Amino acid sequence: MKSRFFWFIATALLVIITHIAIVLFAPRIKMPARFASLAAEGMNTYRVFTPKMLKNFTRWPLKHMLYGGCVVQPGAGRVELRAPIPAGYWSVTAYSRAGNVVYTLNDRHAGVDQLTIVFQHMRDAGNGAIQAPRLRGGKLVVPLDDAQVLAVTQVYVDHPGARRRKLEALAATTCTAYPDPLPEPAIN
Amino acid sequence: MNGLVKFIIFAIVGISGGYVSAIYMAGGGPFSGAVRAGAWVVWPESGADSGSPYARLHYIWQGQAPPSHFDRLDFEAQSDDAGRAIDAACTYVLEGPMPKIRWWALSAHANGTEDGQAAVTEISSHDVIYGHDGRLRITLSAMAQPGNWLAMPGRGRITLVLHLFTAGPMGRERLLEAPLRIRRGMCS
Repeated sequence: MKSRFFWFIATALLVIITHIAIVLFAPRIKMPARFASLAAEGMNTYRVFTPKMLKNFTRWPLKHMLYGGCVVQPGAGRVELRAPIPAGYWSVTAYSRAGNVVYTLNDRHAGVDQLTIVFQHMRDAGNGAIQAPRLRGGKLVVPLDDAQVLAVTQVYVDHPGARRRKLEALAATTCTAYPDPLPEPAIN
Repeated sequence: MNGLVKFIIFAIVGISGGYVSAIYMAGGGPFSGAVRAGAWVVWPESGADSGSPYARLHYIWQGQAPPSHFDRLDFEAQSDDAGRAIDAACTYVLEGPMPKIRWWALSAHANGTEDGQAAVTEISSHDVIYGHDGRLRITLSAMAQPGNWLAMPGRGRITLVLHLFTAGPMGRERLLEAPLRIRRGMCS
């Protein structure tokens, strides 16, 4: 009887441990694998997603949505994502290696037709008490807590005639790495 | 029963129990953070750092990055309102008031096609005509239908995904109450 009780408790504990391990660690294993497959195209290099690359990003892709992105690794410097924003829906979302959304912006939030987002590590983002995204010299500085993020842009083709123009806009997006963080503005 | 056999049973039951329970919760089980609205399941805090770990597992396990909770809500349905799996051999009517958001897209995804490739069809707020009472009625069918028609993709089981875009945190509770009803019609 004692032996049965022991095995029952041990099995229940193993169920709980396995459950927690899958919930916590599966995303941390699968998401970096996704980063690695996209980084094979080049780190800090923007690419319009091919259907094969898209499979690493979404299971339910929209036919009329165009996707592109780059794996951002600013290191001690910064990575600048320069994106022309065409008319209509456009968004950028940055994912951590754990699969969390660390930053999102859409065309309505941006309110401009050309946007530069500067990704740099938090320690380089200034000494403000709150490390929130902020504008500096016309660029949006996004401080990162992670060494690597996946920045994905999406553009919706709301009319078939606009497809080529929107694809060109997406293809004109760039990710460029710089060895230094964005300089702090001079204080007079 | 000797100790080795007991240990093997313990390991198999413990690990498979943990695995099955994690996948069940990631499918929208109770207390997983998923919201069920009719036949639809939605993870309102997907991608949020403070969100449910099951929401993150749900998306990443399916092979996709979670949609940004600041910008988008994805409702998924694999069955009609009566709980029957959505079958490509049947006709369905999706009906209801759509929430007042910037735009939405409804996509139908099939795994079974002639060439073995996943197939998708979609309709968006740019394509539809609303009724005089502001309600929306979409017919999902393999045969062309009058009014708003979403072509049935492929064959076999179908997953419907309703993407609500620019659905920020404000008024999100209202959005969670307003998915389309899914009624099955004739089957061939």
